[in-house]
Amino acid sequence: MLILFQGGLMVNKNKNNNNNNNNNGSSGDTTDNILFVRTSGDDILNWNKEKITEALNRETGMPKHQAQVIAIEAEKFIKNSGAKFISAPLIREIVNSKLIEHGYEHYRKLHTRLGMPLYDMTNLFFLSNKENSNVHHNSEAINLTLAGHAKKEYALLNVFSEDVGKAYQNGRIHLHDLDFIDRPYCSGQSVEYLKKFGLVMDGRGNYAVAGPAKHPEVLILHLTKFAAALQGHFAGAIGWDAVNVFMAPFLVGLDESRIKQLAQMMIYEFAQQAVSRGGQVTFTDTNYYWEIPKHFSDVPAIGPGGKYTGNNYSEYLGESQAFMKAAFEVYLKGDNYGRPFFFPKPDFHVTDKFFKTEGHEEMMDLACEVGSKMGNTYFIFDRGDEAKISECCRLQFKLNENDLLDAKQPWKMRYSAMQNVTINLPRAAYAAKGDDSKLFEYIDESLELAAQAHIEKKEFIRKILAQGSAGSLPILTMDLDGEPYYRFERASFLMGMLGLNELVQFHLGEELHESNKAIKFGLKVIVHMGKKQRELSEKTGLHFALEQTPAESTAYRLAHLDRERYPNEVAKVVKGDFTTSEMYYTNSTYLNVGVPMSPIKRVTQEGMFHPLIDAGALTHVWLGDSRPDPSALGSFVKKTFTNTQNTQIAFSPEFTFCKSCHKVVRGLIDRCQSCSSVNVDGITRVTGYLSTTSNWNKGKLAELRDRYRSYNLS
Amino acid sequence: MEVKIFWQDKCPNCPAAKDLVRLVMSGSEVSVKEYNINNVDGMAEATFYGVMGTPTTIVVDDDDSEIISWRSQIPDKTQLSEVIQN
Ligand SMILES: [Zn+2]
Repeated sequence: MLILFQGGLMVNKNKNNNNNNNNNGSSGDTTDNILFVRTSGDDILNWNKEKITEALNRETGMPKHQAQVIAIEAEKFIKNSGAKFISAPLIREIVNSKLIEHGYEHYRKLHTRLGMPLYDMTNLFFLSNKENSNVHHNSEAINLTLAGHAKKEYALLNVFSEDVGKAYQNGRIHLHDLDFIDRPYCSGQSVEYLKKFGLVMDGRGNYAVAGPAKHPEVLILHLTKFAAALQGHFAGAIGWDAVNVFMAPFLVGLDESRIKQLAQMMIYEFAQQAVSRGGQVTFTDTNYYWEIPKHFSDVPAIGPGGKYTGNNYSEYLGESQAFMKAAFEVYLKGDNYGRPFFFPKPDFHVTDKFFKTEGHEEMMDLACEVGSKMGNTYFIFDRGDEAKISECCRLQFKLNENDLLDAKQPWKMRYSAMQNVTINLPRAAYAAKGDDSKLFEYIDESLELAAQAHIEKKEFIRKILAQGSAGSLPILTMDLDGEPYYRFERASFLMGMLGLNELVQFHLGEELHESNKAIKFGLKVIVHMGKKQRELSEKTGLHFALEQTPAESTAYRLAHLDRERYPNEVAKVVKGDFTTSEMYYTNSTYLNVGVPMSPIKRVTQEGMFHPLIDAGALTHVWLGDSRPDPSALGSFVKKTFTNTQNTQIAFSPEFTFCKSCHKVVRGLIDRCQSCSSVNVDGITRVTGYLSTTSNWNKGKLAELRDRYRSYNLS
Repeated sequence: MEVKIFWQDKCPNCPAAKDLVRLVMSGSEVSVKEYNINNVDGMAEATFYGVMGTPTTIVVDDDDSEIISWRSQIPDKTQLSEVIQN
């Protein structure tokens, strides 16, 4: 039968058909008046316009008598066209054009075919994807891109309302991860789930099910395999809280070298798992605490075999610290070529209790040595009594009372943000033309659109999850502890921002770093956004959270879309080169990356925004080719903790890796100093993670050129 | 120089702090600004100075840099008088 949407290849009305596939009696005696439709390589059928009528009725609900009129007209058009080859997708487009002629816009939309032009597909095979620099070009990555393309089109047509879709397409807001429309955004959880329940790899139990691990190696394998499985259920990062604390009961009595071996195994297992989704490495965050965090110290520890050990976690401080130290030593060494590990990211929590815990100086030295030499360490500042987990590149959750109850049963600690929507802030300034009240109104409307987008995504995910284990997210519906793995009603919804610096620059004529007036106005914008976001939370019942968007491709995309609408305005404020495509907006609430300023001043000023941003924030200190003394980093970190509001910093060195002789040197250079090869690649932090610069998009490369490198931390 | 007082609704010590500052500052040429941190403008200013609680009183120089502050407490009358006379 003629299946219009299923890769049908051609309508054949050529009587001199010279291929041998015509096994349906179509050769020789066909006349020009008979159409044959080939729907697959083996399937050639007589043309039958009733198929169009049926498809229209089935797919769009169009009444048959109306559909018949369309089918007759489409048939006439095709028969008169004189074309020798007409593909089934083309028939569909001809039908669509008839629907447009008759003003049936609604039916046309429902009759849409999702797919990709031949040209784009060819490019996919021969050019690599640069949306996300964690995707490396390979056949699986092509599958990922191809599937993502169709899912994205589907999302804009059938998940989101027209208003939201338009706002996305014209760049007023950015809907992240549309190519993973059928998955929530990111997830943070605890190793305890695996320790207690073992590993149900597919969430259904169809594959071999493992009981709770009895040995540390097995636990590590459960952890890394489950992370990969979760990556197939979430668009973004998979985070693990307090890994060293929860590993500890498995390490009792083991000596230092054995523990180091285990830490090495865990990091390599994560770092090399480039066989999961799209040939990507799993995007993993691992959180470390030198002390036993207060909210875990009185919690009964789970040991080998899923059994309680009879001790609380406070009694495993020694093992917990030994694992943390070992892990950072592994990071310090890097991979076999001496390159930094890109994943899993180590999040080092600096707390009041940290500074009161014995051995903290040594641990700080080690974490700083890693920060200076390799750049891996993320220093996360949890001041006062606040408990937080950090789950994606920026996403931290402050734990509320409910969450602290969960901490008593740490396997319950499963948090998620379902979606991330970014507000294009410079656009608001262009539209406001200097008028404050217009500016805030425009921002409010953008936030309302973002809220609407979240409501729509939530509904779509709800429908998928409602199918239970038969649905497409079986791990999320798996119920091992009295509730589904994915705690749907507790998910957060992120509202990101892009280009605060350019908003302020256009609106006031000064960039954030240029005056206190500018920075105070920037703060006002974010305070205002926070207030509006809380109002929307109350109104809709969804938990919204402001987030610093890790705008890897957004900073580039939105600047481009704005250039079409507001060329003169964009020219005044956009960063990079306006005349080429190598331009970008400054990320989230950051200061201009290229301005020479002392790192402590940057950390202080950017840190002013951090308390306003619920879902985490980060300041980058770009080190370039310098390698500061770890003790200088240490005092910088301590100063940041004590004197600023900054909630997270990372130091980013730059490296060049030679693909010919495998030497790694500091700094970004074009030619290997050892073997003179030009087959080299740069390595540094793109947004929230380290990656190779050959995978970066043009906007990020422009930013890389502009970055001000700090050679002096004092 | 400027004296900034950060206050909010339902803050038991805020009226006393405001009264004290007004009293000390009466007759002084130094300007006094009161910020309600429940408002967007007040909260933005409070965030700039890292104000974590109310009442907070901050004396700043002409470059917006802090000279002295009393955070989450009523300011010291004598200290405040001395600072604004210099
Ligand atoms: Zn070389």
